[in-house]
Amino acid sequence: MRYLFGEWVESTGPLTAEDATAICRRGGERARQLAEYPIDRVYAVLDRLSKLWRDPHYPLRVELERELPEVTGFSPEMIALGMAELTWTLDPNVLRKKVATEITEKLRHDVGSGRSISWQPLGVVLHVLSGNVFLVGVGSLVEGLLTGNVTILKMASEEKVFLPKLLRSLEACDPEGVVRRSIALVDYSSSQKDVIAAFKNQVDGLVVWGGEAAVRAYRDDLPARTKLVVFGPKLSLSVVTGEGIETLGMSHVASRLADEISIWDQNACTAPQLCYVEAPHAPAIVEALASALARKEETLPAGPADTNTAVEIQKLRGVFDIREARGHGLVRTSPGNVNWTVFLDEDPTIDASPLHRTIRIVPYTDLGSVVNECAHVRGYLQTVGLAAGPRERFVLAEKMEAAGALRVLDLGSMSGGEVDDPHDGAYDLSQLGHFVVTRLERPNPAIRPFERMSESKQAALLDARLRVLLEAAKRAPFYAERLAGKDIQGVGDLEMIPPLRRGEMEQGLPPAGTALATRPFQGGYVTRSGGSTGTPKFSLYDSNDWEHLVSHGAEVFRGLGLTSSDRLANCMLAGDLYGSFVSFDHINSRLGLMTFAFAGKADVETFHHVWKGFGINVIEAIPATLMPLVKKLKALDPAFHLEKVIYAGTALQPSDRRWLVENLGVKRIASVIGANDGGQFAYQCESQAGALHHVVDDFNYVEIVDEDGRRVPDGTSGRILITSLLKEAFPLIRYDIGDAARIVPGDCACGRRARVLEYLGRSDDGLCIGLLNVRYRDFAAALDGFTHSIFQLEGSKDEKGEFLVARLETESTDPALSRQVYTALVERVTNLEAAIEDRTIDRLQVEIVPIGTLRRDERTGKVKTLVDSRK
Amino acid sequence: MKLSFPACEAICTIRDPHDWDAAKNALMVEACREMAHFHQRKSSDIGFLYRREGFDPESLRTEADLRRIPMIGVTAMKHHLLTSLPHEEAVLKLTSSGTRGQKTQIWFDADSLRRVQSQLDVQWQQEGMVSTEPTNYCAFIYDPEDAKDLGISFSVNNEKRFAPEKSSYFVVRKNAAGSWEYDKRKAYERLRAYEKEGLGTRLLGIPSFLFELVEWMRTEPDVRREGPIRLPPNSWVITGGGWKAAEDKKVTRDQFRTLVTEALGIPHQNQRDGYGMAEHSAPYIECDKHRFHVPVYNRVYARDPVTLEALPPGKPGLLEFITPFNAMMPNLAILSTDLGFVDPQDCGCGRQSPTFTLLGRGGLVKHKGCALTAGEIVRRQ
Repeated sequence: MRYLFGEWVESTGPLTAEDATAICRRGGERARQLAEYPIDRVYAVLDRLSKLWRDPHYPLRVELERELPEVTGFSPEMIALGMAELTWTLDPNVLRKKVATEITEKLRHDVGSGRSISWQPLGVVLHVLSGNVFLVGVGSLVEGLLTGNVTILKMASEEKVFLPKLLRSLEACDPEGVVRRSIALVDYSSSQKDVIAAFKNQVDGLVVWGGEAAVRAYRDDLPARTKLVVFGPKLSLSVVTGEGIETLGMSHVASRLADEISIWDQNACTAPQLCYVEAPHAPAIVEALASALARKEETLPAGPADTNTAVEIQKLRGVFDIREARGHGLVRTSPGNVNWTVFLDEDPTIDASPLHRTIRIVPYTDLGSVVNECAHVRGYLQTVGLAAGPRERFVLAEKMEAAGALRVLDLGSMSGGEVDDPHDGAYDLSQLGHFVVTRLERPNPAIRPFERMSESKQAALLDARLRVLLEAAKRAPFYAERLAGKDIQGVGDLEMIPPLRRGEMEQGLPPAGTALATRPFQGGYVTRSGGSTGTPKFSLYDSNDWEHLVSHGAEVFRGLGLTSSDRLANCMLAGDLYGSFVSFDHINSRLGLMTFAFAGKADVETFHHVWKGFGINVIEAIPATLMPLVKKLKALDPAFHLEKVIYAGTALQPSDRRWLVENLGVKRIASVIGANDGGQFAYQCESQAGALHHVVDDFNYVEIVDEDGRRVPDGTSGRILITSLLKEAFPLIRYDIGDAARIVPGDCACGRRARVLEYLGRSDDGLCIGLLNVRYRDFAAALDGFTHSIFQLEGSKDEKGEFLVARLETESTDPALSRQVYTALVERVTNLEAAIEDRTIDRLQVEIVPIGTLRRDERTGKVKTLVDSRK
Repeated sequence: MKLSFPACEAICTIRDPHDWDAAKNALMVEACREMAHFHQRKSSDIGFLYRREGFDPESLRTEADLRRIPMIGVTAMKHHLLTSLPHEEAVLKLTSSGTRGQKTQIWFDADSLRRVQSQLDVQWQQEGMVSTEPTNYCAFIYDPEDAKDLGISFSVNNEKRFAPEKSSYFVVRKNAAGSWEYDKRKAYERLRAYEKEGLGTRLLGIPSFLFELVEWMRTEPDVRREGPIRLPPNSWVITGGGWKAAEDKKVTRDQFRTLVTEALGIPHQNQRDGYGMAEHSAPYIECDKHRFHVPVYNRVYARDPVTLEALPPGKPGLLEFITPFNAMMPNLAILSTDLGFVDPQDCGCGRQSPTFTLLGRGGLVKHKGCALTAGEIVRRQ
C-alpha cells in the first residue's frame, strides 16, 4: 500500500522510477495549495490528531502499542513513553513556539528601509526516514507541513506500521483535505538506485535521516538546485567530574546516566555512548551505574536485542573479560541477557557503542585529553551531558562547545530539550524553505504591512487570526460555553457570538474570577481599568499578549509619524496602575527613538531646559494635560516649538489644533485611540484629522453594531465592538468598549488599505435631564469654531429643578464669550431651546474658566466631560 | 619438563573421529578437563574467568558439562594475545586477517601443532582427498611469498602435503608497482595449461576469488569461444574462507558448485569447502553431501546471542567451538561471531557425527538511525 496525496493505492509491485517521477509531479501540483493554506488550519488538523492519540483507548493507539514492541524491539513501557511524546510532537501549542523561533521571528517588515523578508516553502520534499526511533517520521512530517511543503515520506526498512496508521487517523482530522492531499507515503529499497535517482531529479528538497551510506546515496549526484538536509549519524557522550559527583552524589549521577542510556534503549542520537569520568571515581561509577541500570529494568525495561546487536555486545564483553582479568578494565552485565552492559575502559578513544544500554566508562585525569578526543569526532559529536560542579561547569561547557559539541546539557537532560532548540547545529524548519527578501521603494514608509496587503490576503489573515484566537479562547470556561457548537471560520461569522459586556469581562478577570483565563499567565502587565471610584478593576496582559501589544503598537506609532530619530517627551500618565505611560513607553522604545519620561508630571522650567538642551521635537500626551503645558512653555519662551504632537484619550478641540500649528509650528498632529482593555484600535494617518482614524483590524478587529449587537451598515453610527485578535490569555471577543463610531466608506488619500472610522466618543454620553435626552457629542459639535480646550457638560439640580451647565476651559477672557456660547448651543442643539422654554429643564448655565482649572482625575489626568451631579 | 596431556593426545589422534561413541565422548570430556585444568593454572586470564564464573575444571564429568566451560570471546583474541605456555615454546605463529586492523595471533607449540595436524590428516584421508600422484595447484589466495604469516597462506601450503606438488600458481600477486593484483586471464591460462597437462589439479583458497574467475570466464568472449576447461577427474576444489562476493550476487553454494562444474569440469562431490576459524584452528571439511561434520574431539554448539544458552538443533545462534588440542593458547572453548545451527537431521553421507550449518557473520549492526553505530566513524587520516 502507498499513500498518495489523500488516497490509499494498492501497489502492484515495487515502486518504480516512473512512479517516483509521477509522485513528485503530482506533489508539485499540490504545492501551491498547501503553501497558501493558513497555518492555523494545519495546527488545527495536528491538534485534532494529537487529541485522538492522547486517548489511551484510541483504537489505533491500542493496536499500535500492541504491534510496536515486536516491530521496533522496544519494551511496551518504552512504546508508551513514545506515545506520550507523540502527542507532544503534534501539539500546536508546542509547535507554535518552534515556528515562531525558527521562521516567524526571522521575518521582517522593515518599514524604514522598505525591506520585507517573507517565507516560501521549498515545494516538494522527500523525507528519507530512519528506523531507530519511530517518532522520527512524525517529526519530519510535522516539520514538512508546518513549513508548507508537500511531504513525501520514505518509510524506514525496519518499521512500516506506524506511519500508515498515523495517516489513517489524520484523514479523520482533516475535513478540508488540504493537509492529507499534501502527503505521500512510499516504500522502496535502498538498492533501488533508479528510484532514488528519480526522486533526486524531481524534488525540491531532501531530508535524509541515516548513516553514512544513506547520506551518500542521496547526496551524490544531487542537482545543485536541490536543498539537502542531512540528519546524519551523531554521537553523544557524557563527562562526569569529581566535583560533579561531590555536588550531585554518586548514586544520583549514576541514576541520571542510567536514564540517559535507557531511553529508547540508547538508540537516539542524544544518548551517551561513552562517559568520561574523572579518574579516581570511574570504578565506583561503573558499580553505581550497574545498580542503577538494574533498577531501571524494573520501570523501563529494555526491549529484546536483535541478534546483531547482541553479537556486538557479546564481542565487547569478551574483550573486557580479558581486560578485567588483567586488571585493566571492568565489565558489569545484566545477568542472563544483554539488557545492559557497563565497561571500564582505559582507552580514551571515542568509538560507537553497540547501543542497547551499553556504555564505556572512561577514566580521565586531564580534561584536555577529553577535549582532544572530542576534536577527533568533530562533525559526529552531538550532545555532551555534564555532571560537573558549580565552579567548573560553565568553563567545561565552553570547552565542549569549542570541541565541536552541538548541545551541552546537564546529565539527565540530554534526551530532552526545547522544541525550538537547534537540531544538529541548525534550525530544522528554517532549512525547509527560503527567506525571501523584497525591497521596494514606497512613497510612504509608514504604511503598516497589513495595510499594504491585497484584500484577499487581509481577509485570510484576519480569519486565520480569529480562528487561532477562538481555539485559545475555548480553553477559558466562559468562552467554552459561549463558543460551544458555533462553527466560526472567519470574522464574517462573528455575529454568532454575543457581545462581551463590561460586567462579564470584569467578573472573568482576576482577582474577581478566572472565567476568561485560557492558560496560566505569567509576565506582562496588569493595569487598572475603568473609573476611579469603587472597587478597582483590572486589565491583564500576559507576556505574550503584551509583546503583541508592543510590537503591533510600534507599527501603529510609525503610522502616527514617529521615527527613530525623534526625541520624544512622553507625558502620558503613570502610576496607580495606570497603563498609558508604560505601554507608550514600551512602544516608543521598540521604535528606537529617544524618550524623555515626564509621565504627566512636567515641571515647565525643567521641561523647557530639557527641550532646549536635547531638542525635543515630539510630545505624547492627552489633550487635558497637553494644552496647559504647551501654553505655559510658549509663555515662558516664545521660541518654543514642536514638530509632532501625538495625543490620546480624548478629542483635541479644533481650536487647540489650530493653536498648536500656528503658535508652535507643529507639522504633524495625530491621535491614537486605544481601549484600556484591548489596546490600540485606531490611529490617524497624515491625511486624517478630527475624529477620523484608520482601524487596526489586524490587532483589534472592529465592528460597529446596534444596541442588539447586530452590525450596522458602513456610514451608520453604532457601538464599537473590538475583538483582540492577538490577545490570548484573557481573550476579548466582541468586547463592547462603550464608545460609539461609524465606518466612513471610501478610501483614504494616504493609500492605506485600512477602514476609516469616525470616532464619536463615549456611546453612553447621554443624560436625561428633565425629559430631555442630552448627548454630549451634540453639544460639543455645536461649539465647533469656539476657542477652547475642554468642554464639560454637567447635569445638575437645585430647588428650581434640573438644569444643565456648559463649562468651557479657555484662555479667552472675552466677556461676550459666555453669551456667544449660550446662543450657539440653543440655536444648534436640537430641542434644547424648546426644552428651556417649556421648562423641561430649568435652565442652561454657561461658565467660562481659565486653562487648567477644571478638576483632573488624579490617575488619568482627564477631565470628565459629562457629569451628572444630581444624585 | 615435557608436558603430558594423555587424554588430549588420545582423542586428537583418534583414527575415526566421525564415529562417535560413549567411550570417545568420555575421553573427550576427560581431555577437556585436562586442558581446562592446565589453562586454569597457566593462564591468569583463564584463572580469573573460571574463578569469576565459579567454574571448577574438576566438575567436567559428563558430556553435558562441556557446555559449562567458560568461553573466550573470539574478539578478545583479536585484541589480546592469550597464551598458557612460555612464548619460546611457540613453533608456529600465525595471524588471521582481521577487519579494522585487528589481527588474531594464533600460536602453536610443537605438540599442539602435531595434534591439530593429525586431525587434518585423518579427515583428509577419510574424505579420500589424499593422493600420491603429482598434482598441479592453483591457489586462490595472496602469494605466500609476500604474505607469509597469514593463516590462510599457511593453510593452503599445509594442504599441499596431501598430494605431491608438481607446480603451483597463486592468483593474487604483487605487481611491478608493489600492489596486489588478481589477473584473471593469467589464472585462466594457467588452468588451461593444467587441463592440457592432464594431471590431477587442486584449486585451493578463497571461494570468492574462484567465483570471480568463473564469472569472468562466462563473460569473456574469447574464453567463451574456447569453451569450458575440463580438468582431469582426480581434480579437487578445496576452499575455505570468504564467500561475500558470491553472496552479494545471491548465488547459493549449490549454484556456485554448478558454475564451477560447468567452467572447469570438477563434479560437485569433488568440491569441498573447509571451515577453519583461526582462533579455533581445528579443521572441518565438508563431506560429499556438503555438510560440516563435527569430529569427536571437537564440539560445536549454537548459543542464543542474548542469553548465551545452548540452543537445540535447528535453532540458529552464535557458534561456540570446543577443542582440547591446544596447550599454547587457552582456546579450549571459544565463542565465535559466526551464526549457524546444529543440523537437526542426520547427514545422508553415512557418518554419524553431528553436523552444523553456517549462516554468516553476526554483528556489525546495520545502521538504523541518527545514532552513530559501530564502524561508522570515518576518521580523519
